[in-house]
Amino acid sequence: MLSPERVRVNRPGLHVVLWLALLSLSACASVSTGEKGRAVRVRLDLAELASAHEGERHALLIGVNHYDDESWNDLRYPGKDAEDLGRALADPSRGGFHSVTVLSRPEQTTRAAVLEALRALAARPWRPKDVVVVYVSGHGTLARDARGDLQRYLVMRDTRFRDVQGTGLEMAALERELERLASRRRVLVLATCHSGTGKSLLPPAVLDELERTKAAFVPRPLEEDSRASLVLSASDWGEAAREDDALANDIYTHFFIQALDGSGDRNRDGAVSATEAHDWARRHTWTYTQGRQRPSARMMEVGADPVLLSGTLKRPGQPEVFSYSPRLEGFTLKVDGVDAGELPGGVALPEGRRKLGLHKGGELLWEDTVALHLGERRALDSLLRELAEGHRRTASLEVGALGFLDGRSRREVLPPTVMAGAGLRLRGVLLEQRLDVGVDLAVGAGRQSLRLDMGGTVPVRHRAVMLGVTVGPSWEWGRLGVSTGPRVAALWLERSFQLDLLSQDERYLTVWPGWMGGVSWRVGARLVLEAKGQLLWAYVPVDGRTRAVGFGGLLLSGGYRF
Amino acid sequence: MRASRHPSFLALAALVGAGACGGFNNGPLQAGTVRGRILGVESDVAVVSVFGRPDLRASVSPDGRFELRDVPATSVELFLVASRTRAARTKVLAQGARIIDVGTIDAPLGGFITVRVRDSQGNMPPRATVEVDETVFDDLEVDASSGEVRIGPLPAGCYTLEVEGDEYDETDEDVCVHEGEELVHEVVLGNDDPGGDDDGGD
Repeated sequence: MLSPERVRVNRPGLHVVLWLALLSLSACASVSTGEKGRAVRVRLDLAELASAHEGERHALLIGVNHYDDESWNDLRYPGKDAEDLGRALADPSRGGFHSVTVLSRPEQTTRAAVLEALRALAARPWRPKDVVVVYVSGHGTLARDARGDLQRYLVMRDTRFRDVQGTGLEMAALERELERLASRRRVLVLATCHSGTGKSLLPPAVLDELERTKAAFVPRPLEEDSRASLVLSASDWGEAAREDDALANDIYTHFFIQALDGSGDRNRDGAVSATEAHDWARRHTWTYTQGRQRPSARMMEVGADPVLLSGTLKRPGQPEVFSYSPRLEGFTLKVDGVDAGELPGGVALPEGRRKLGLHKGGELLWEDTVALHLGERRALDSLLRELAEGHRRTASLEVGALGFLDGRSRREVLPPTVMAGAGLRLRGVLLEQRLDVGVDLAVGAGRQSLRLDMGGTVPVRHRAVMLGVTVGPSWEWGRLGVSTGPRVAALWLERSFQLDLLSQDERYLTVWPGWMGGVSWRVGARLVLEAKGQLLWAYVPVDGRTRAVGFGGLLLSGGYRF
Repeated sequence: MRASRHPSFLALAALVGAGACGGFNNGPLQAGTVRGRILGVESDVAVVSVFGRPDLRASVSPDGRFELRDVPATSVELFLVASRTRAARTKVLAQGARIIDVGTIDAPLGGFITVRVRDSQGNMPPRATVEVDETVFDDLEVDASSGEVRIGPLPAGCYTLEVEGDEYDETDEDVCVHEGEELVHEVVLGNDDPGGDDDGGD
């Protein structure tokens, strides 16, 4: 059984208005999710790996060629797209799907017929490990719903241009149907577009609204909000999904099917996962269209248990790193300093420690050395999220000096002590992540001389142990960080005299309140240098009288953030 | 407040409440011991003291060894009387809680001061005492028959003589003596002033 560490992916919050089409398929690699920024690790027992992918595979493929309303121009290949994909999925040597339902005839592509097919699909006794693929090739469009909000619709054969809301297949409804499935491996592939070109057609009012909407604020496609685990789109936002006479298919679909023959098995584990098929199709579509069509993918859940569309696992796959996050789009992934590909997408890498870096326009966004193991898949988004959020813990080694603030106490009571120690700082663990907590332990010793007020020096051997707790906020500006906060330190001081007339150890243990401030400089993804100063106040008994004294320290530390 | 209930705060509060224990005492570091050896001593008269602290004194053994304790841990000057004719002063840096050995001291011939005491009319006071400030020579009775007292041996140097006589004002006079010198110094005592603030009184 697989035991992946959980990875949580951001859910973009906006709901969409527009989307354009292409083909997409959404596969849901369902996995247990959870901890941020951790590797997805898999035990490499092949039998367990295989058993983890047990489950039946079922597909519902919809291709709408013809439309009753002449406002929608008929398309040539959606039906063929669905049938070609269906053959690949049903082929025992490739997809090996238990059932493949293709809806391409006119009577099968009405809104009612498609909804009925979706309900029938939902009625099956799904198990969590079953794979379900829903594929739609046809027109997509946008329209206002009953509340006046723009929604995305799939255009069915009987969808009327003037009444999309009442006659189209709302994406939200499709989503709801998929969500009802008990399967946790759901893939939605959309071979539609919503840009108003290609396989999409938008009402004039919607087009006008979109034209007036600034790109940065265009609501993102529904895929981002979908709870489906994986949505693969034949084209990126605002682009048209294209049919091609030479290929006699939707372009993306053509390469998607091609991937299922094994070409897309990037990590050489014997199976083609949904993301592998998508990446294969994405790369070839991009090349084929000379960059005019960029298939996209949105993952809602990511794990070590990708949805397998073709083949069977025969061996642990090569380690993979991937990202389908929009915010990383256009970044180049470098592995050991060499370009490995552009995001979104994934790459398979040789096992071992690899230096990964994300670059864009000469700028380095992130860099880190990651140990990659067979069968492991790492989401770059998670690693980036670590960067954005910062590593929450910093373990550090410290050196410095502690001593009384006033010269008299330093001369007559205890000289400054060179200290070395270790610290642990936990970021944002108090007051709704506003305050950090730091714990440090330092020990020190020295041999110096006291300079008594009346003259003369007295050699003394002295030791100190300090255990401190600091609570306070911290701020970071790029590599520079500042922290401060109140502090309490338990301090044990000892001075020892081994003199002609005096052999004596004196000790003092106290708990002092104080304040600490620090300035840090991050020198790498995880390494940080910090200078910390602290002030403490206490009453110290000297010669039978209690002195109110200050105690100060300056520590330099090197920390590792994790 | 949530934070106030956090275990970390409770732990800190407990630590603060733990208070303190122990402390430091520099008392034993304030004084040390000085020792050494004096050549040619006459142990019945030999004595070692701290110049300025005549209460800190020690006798000298017949072989000349001495050990002076509780010497302030600072730079001091030892006042040594080796014999009936020899004396010396030597500086030493005493160290707290440690023993400093000044080594062997060969004291030279000391000087002697014969203090001749008279009143303003030239008469010998019936009773008077002389003290050499900061030294072990104190309360030396003036011979009533001669009105003189011979003090020594004193190491070469300058001293303050403090002369007191019944019904006379106390008189302080500085005098310097050289090695092997026999010095006669006359001191005239003034009449006691009943209205003054000097001792004597009514």
